[in-house]
Amino acid sequence: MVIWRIVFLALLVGAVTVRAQDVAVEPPKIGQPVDFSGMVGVFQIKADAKPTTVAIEEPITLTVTITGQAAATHVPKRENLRLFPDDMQRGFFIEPGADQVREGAWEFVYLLRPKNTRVQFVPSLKLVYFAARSRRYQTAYTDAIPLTVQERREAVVDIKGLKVIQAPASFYELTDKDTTDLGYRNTKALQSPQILISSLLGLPLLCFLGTCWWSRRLRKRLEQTRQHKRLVDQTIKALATPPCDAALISRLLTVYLRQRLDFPGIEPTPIEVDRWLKRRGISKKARDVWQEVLRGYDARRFAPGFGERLALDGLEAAELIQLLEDEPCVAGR
Amino acid sequence: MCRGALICLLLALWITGALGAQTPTVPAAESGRAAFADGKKFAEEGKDARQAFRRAMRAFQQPDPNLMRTAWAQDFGNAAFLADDLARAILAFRYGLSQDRHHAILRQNLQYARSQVQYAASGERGRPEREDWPSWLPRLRMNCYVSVGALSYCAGWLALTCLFFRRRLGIAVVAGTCFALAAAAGYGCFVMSQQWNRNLELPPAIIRHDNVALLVGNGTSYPRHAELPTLARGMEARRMSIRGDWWQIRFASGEIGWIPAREALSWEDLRN
Repeated sequence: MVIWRIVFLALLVGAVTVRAQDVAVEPPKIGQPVDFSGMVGVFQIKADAKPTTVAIEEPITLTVTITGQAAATHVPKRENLRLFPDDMQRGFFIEPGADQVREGAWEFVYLLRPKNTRVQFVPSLKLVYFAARSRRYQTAYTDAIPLTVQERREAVVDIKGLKVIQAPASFYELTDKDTTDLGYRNTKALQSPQILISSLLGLPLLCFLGTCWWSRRLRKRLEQTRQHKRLVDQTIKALATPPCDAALISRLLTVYLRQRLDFPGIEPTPIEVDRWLKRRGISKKARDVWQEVLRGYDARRFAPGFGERLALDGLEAAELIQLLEDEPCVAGR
Repeated sequence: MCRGALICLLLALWITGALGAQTPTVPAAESGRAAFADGKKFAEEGKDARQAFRRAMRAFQQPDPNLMRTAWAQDFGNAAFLADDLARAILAFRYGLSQDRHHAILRQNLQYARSQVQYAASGERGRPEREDWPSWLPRLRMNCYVSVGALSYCAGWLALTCLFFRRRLGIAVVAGTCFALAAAAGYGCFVMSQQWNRNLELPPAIIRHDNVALLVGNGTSYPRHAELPTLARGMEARRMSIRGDWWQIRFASGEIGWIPAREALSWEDLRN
């Protein structure tokens, strides 16, 4: 009987104790962290991700395992869990997976899809729970899991009967060679009627003016040639007219040189004539002849008894003039 | 005289050659090239490469009009065609040809792209404009025409001036030839600038999709065009006016009608 009483009392005390504990494990609202996962007890958390090398938006299976002892009313539940940091959504699309509950272990699966290649790891998860024994909130963490995120793979659909574009080989070539005709832009000025008309009419006008100038020049040259011919004829005629002496011939030759070749002297010596002819580009042979003949006339002019007017024919002087007229630089050839 | 004319002609050709050689090169976007190479590989393997080419097309899309030249047009048009965007391909090839009218590859590719358009079975309705380049005129660049024309014109007047002083048959023949050359070059310039101006005044409108209704007014309540009620993708017209979201277009065969702006492409669509 005593034994039964002891057993009864023990059961009663146990029940009261458990009930008291149940009442006591209710987590306080004051000071409750915002990321409290609604669990009471003692817990550890572990995370595992597979695969760790994926392309953008390809799924990574994240398995979160929580182990420990939970108060009956505050066991881990997916809807209460606040495991992920706030900025997790920035790097991942998060989708829920399957849950699994075993003795003292709760497994939650998530599908994470990285949004870009800058994502380098699954961040550390944080489990905030209420520790019944110490009567305070405690936090457990997982390690961050390194990831390699690659560019999105090209979706290749290899289905028979699918449309494949057929094109000649020239469509499959890229080029860097640019042949843009910049002439359109450069010649835009020519499209202005004023510029076009002035360009078209300017040249004929120029040609007309050129023709006028050239004709005038030609006429002038013809006139000059005629004058020179007249001078030569007159000089030769004068030389052929008797009486003719050395002084007269010298004077006629000087007049010829002055009018024909712009000779500056009035009473030139043979050396002065030679220099002048040289300056005008007369050949040495002709100059020598001129000098020799002029010396001869001078010798006769200044010889004693010249006053008796020794008659001479002007044939030699006429040949001298003809020699000069045949020179290319004088003939203008 | 003849030797002088020949030297002038050679000088003109050299100058125009030098001007032609000054054209810059425009490197395509590297990512576009990579995507194009991927697409080419898929195509060689017999797989559907349209997505890769579409990626290349997007990479080639050029917002800077100064870089939109023949090389760009060729690359972009090729990528668009292989991405099954026939309208954009035709537009790109036409744009390239507006920059260099005689570009052989662009002409060839445009011709092939046009052969893929499902025109009405009979008649000329809805077909593109015919090539209006005279067969007797050699296909040269604008600079070339201007240089040859200017030099021939000068040489012609010089020869005519010489003929005034020396009445010789040879000089008369040279003068006549020079004036004929100048006239031909002038005509070449005229045809090219006319096309250039037409492209600016009446930009092309390329139909984007099949079974687009050509309406007689700018609203869905208007009836369809009697002679050309339905348009196929890749059909080419010229845009005459814009009213709200509607374009008035005219086909080379003379049909005028209205389509929604979203159903056609024009120059501005090459940039976005």
